[in-house]
Amino acid sequence: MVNLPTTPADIIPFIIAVVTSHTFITLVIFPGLIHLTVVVMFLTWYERKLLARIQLRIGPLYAGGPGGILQPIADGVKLIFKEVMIPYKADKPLFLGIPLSLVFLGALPFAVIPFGQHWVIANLDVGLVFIFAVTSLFPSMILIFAWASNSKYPFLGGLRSLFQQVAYEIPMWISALSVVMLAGSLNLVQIVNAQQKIWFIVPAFISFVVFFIASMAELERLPFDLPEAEPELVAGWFTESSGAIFMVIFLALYMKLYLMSSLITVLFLGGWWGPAFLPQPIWFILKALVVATFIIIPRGVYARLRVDLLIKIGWTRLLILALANVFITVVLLSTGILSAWGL
Amino acid sequence: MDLSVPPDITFVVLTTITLLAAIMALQAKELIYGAISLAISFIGIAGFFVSLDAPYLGMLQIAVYVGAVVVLILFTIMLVRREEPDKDESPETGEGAAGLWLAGLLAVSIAGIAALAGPNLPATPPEANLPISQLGPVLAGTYPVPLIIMALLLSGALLGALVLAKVDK
Amino acid sequence: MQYYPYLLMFVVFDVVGMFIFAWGMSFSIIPTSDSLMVVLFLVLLGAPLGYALRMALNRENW
Repeated sequence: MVNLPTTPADIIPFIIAVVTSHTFITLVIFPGLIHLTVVVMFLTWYERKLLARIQLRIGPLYAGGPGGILQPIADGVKLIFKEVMIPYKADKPLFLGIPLSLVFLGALPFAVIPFGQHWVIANLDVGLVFIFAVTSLFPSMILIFAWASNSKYPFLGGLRSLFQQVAYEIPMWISALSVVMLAGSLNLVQIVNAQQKIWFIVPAFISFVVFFIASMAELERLPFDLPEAEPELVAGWFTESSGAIFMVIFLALYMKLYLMSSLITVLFLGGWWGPAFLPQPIWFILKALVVATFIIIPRGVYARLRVDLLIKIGWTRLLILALANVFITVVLLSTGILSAWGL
Repeated sequence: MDLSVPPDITFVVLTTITLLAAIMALQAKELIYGAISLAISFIGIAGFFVSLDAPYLGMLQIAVYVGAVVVLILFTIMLVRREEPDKDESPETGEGAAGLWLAGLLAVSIAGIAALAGPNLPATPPEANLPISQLGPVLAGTYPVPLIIMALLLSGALLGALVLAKVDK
Repeated sequence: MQYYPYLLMFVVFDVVGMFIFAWGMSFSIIPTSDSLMVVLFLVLLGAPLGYALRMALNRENW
């Protein structure tokens, strides 16, 4: 702990000590607020460019720099200047407060995700369960927001979103259970360290597939897009949000995308382990962006699923696959096949 | 009990949040606000678990209660039609005075017990000595029978809820 | 109202998750007989969950 400044001459060394301390750097710069904001804005641009190229268009082009790289900033400025319309008899404190809590909850799990051996804000022993606890708060907040909009279409979209996210959380938990069994710990740094010799995608491949599909459904991306079905529900549970509120929700959705990509990287793709010619955090970000690419691409390719089929698939097929993988992991661990890789 | 030591700031903050949220959950005019206050009081209880060196339990308390039970309550509130509450004043029922009397009685009895038994308690509370890696072995090794009983209890609760919710033809 | 069993199953799975993650962490450490107790726990819960799923998927019930 640094000493608090007592005389005016102590202030500058105190500030320097605080700014260069590990906590401050990880909290604010990397992997904290600044890195998160920059990557989330980059992801919005990246998605539009990627989808455009899939659909044989060009995408953002004019917003400054090469290829419209400042488009997210232009979007942000435009959305701030739009009028925030609150529906008649909508619940104002909830309507205005919940998007902010969504952003808060979307950014909170990044406190435990390790971007490098020491690049983690808070190395909790229960890190994975912390992430699951925070992501399980999303469905209820979306339901409350949809109800607070006091309008039929958002409410229907909110209910559909609730059931979809609830249906796909259990396969996610159970496929993460396979990873926990292989690593023997809930601590995310230890899970990544256990993948030093072999990435968990190899022994737990079915789990990887299940987790990937389930996270696409949690993020409400196509082909699981029904809560946001544009021809039917206009925009689902955030139909009534306009201007700054939409921008906040939009940011929250992309933060969740980056969170799921980072989580898949930590759990299955070996975190930051890679050949030593790049520093560890760069490997992590590269892998997370590759996963994000594969989450974004189906949006331009596949058709949408009907809502009851969607929920049925989550509860039956994905759950059975995840349980099958737990069984396979039990067999692999009991017979000791994986001891060559230190598991 | 040593009354000269001020209580821990974490404990005071958590107690205030939990109790205020619980009172608001009962007294709120809109049921949705009540459900949200219930969620906040559950988060307060999870904070208690974390401050008592049980972070695993605290995180799963949030996941189970705030993530699932509150969702169930909200879903039920939103889909069950109910009439508008009466706008006129409800008659004086003396609930407030009875509540205060009961609270005072409870406080006096707890203070009496603490005063009588206080000197026999150890000076420092016992350390929490179950690291999380030991939770599994203890659960499966030392307490397998309560585990199976809990399975039966959960099954019974699930079946009961399903039977009650089913629509009879 | 027809989606009510899904929420019930979610609550039960959440509680099961509490025990399952504790088991998963210590799976390679505890003896096999203890693991079998947890598997018995899961199987005992699996039957009503399967029934709940069948009831949820069967549209005539709602």
